[in-house]
Amino acid sequence: MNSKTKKIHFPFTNTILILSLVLLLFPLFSINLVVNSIDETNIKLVRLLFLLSTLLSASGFIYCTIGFHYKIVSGDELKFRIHLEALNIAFTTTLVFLFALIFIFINFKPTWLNYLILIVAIIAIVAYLIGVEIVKRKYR
Amino acid sequence: MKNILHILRAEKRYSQDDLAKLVDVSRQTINAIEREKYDPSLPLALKIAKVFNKKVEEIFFLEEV
Repeated sequence: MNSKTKKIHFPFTNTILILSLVLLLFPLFSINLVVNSIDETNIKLVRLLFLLSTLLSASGFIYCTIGFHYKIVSGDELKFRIHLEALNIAFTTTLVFLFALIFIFINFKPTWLNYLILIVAIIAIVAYLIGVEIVKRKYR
Repeated sequence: MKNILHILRAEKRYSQDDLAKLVDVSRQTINAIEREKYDPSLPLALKIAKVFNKKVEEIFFLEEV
């Protein structure tokens, strides 16, 4: 399996990650610039442009995620172990927060349920990054 | 798990980096193995044994009770 994964290359992952981030935020910043000039004739074009930027951004993030995964899997075994242990920490933390947030939102802030996935995604990323640092200390 | 990797490495006058390159891992991995913070996978243990021309059990062994 290892020899197979070594053959797969995902070039320019860092560049694509930055570009994806820019494309993800593009509608947010550009809407203020074009908001006054939007009318019935060009609204479809603006929507299409925003759809395209977010679609490209999502594709970029998926590419980078797969790229980083293969890079770790086919790389150094200690780094892979750190990655797995950090994922374990991130998964447990996310699960705990998910149930806690569902309880809080359903009972006190039902409208916040719309943002649940977004909040959980941020928690998962932060938990992973903290997890990596904790596990790194263990092997230092 | 105990090991005598640092002794064997010193005998051959390999740096951690040299050994890491020979067995295709990072220097940090070799360091963690030597400090007994991390137990190598079986393929890595076999690769290390091959470098020093020894059996795996001559390099890695369980702590005696």
